[in-house]
Amino acid sequence: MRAIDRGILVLFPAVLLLRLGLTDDHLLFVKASMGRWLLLSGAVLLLLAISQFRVGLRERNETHLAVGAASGHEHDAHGHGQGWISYLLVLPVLAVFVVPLAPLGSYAIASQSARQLPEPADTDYPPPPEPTDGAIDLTLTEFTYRVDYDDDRQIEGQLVRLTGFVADPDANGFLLTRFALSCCAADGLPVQVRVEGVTSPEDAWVTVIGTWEPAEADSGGEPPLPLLGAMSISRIDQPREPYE
Amino acid sequence: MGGRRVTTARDRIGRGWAPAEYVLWACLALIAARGLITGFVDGPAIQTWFTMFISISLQAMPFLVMGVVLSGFVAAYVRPGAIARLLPSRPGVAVPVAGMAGLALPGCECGSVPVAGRLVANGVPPAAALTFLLAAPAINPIVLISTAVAFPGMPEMVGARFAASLLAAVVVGWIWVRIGRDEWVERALRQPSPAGSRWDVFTSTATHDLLHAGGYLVVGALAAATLQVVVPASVLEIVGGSGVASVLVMAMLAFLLSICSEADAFVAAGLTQFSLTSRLVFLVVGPMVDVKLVAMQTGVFGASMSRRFGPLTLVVATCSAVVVGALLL
Repeated sequence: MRAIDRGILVLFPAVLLLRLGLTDDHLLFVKASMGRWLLLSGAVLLLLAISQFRVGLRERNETHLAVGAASGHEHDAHGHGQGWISYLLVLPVLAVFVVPLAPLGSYAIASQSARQLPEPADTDYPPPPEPTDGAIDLTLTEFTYRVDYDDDRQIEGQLVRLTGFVADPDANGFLLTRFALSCCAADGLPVQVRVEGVTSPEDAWVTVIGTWEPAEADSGGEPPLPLLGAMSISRIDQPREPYE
Repeated sequence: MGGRRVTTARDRIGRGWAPAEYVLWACLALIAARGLITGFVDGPAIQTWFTMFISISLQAMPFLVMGVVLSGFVAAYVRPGAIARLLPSRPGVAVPVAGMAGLALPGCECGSVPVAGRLVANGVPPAAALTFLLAAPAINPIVLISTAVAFPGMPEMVGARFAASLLAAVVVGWIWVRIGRDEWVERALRQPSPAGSRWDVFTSTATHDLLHAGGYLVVGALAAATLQVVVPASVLEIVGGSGVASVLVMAMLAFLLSICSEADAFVAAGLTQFSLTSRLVFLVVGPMVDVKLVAMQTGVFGASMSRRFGPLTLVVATCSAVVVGALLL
């Protein structure tokens, strides 16, 4: 494989990293903290690609002079047949430019839902944050943890505001859902809260304001999904960071 | 200066297009035509597949880049044989030392494969390099810390992960000392010795390793994304609990999901219907052998290595986790 081929192939993942790292789109796939690493590694690959193009220029110039020992030959030792796998590096970056980019939605819930939120380290919950605009903003994860583990039941009777997308809508309500990431979207855990009193189309992003409706004393087994009695619902645009 | 000696191959340099240029133009054409393609790829299953594929590829890339930078550094600035001299000369002793050295390389398993390949090329005995390859993703500080965070109040989980992973890595290394043959890792040994200045060696090595491991990483990402979309979670719910079935399910799950080792602890913490020992199996097997790794190992070491190494590692890692789990958990 000649240097210009290598340069172009290295450019593919470089563009992938920079295209997603420089915009908010990487938030659809990985956690926000990865952003700077995407940029750094993208820059490194860009430098490698440039280095290969320079070698390629050198190879081109040298062919018109004596052919010496240097360029080119070092790669004859490789079976050329194996080089084609490297061309697969084009696939992720091609996907990013051709396919509409979207976060995980209701379809992915089925393949991801065998897990549950792990037990928290500390079940001593401080009082919930102050309400803004009349309701306390909580993530679905925080809400679920407080419902399941806060023995003081500090959010009981309080208006809370939750944001997520709609799954399993029916006449009475739906499952408000958001994926929580450990590493990247491929391991997203769907965190769900049952909302009743309003409904909305599947996969729509909504903000719901309501109060927690505690379940009856559970008869053992897994606790049911937390229940939110909704007072109001509004459609929103897909958030910049769709995951929790 | 000699005379002109222009062969047909050299004739093409500077004239005509590189094969990669064709691919580039094809990409640009597809991108320009994306409006036509969108209709075919907006079903929910395909969308989910693309999201998973892109996210696995994207998450792994920075670690792969780090690994090839390190491997390029070794090729350019570390004299051949220098690392091997740091290890005990008897392979049986070098293996555990190499295993402990895994503490020093933070990051996901994607980075350790090119580094291990470069160590072999540098003269480290293959068994020690392979032990390092297995240990580094599993026992480095970042992974141990994330395990501690994911299993709060259960330090025995961190200890068990460390012990079982190190044990598995060392056992595989010892087995390889016994029965491993150099021709199986031939592709790594056969690395061409690059010529030129140190900078040239660094860039050409890093590029070469990136292209090899990166292509196979994409293969692994394609497979893992497909498995994620196609296999519903309900399959798991049937087999929860403890016992032989759940251990095998956890080992298979770790193999198929190919989750990076910094984050698999959180995934394991969420699999609450499985016993701690089964989840330890998940944590020990995952960083050592999965779809992504087997693909990358094939790229760096060759198929005759990976088809022996993969099953061996799977069996040893599973058994090691079961034994350590029974003792500590």
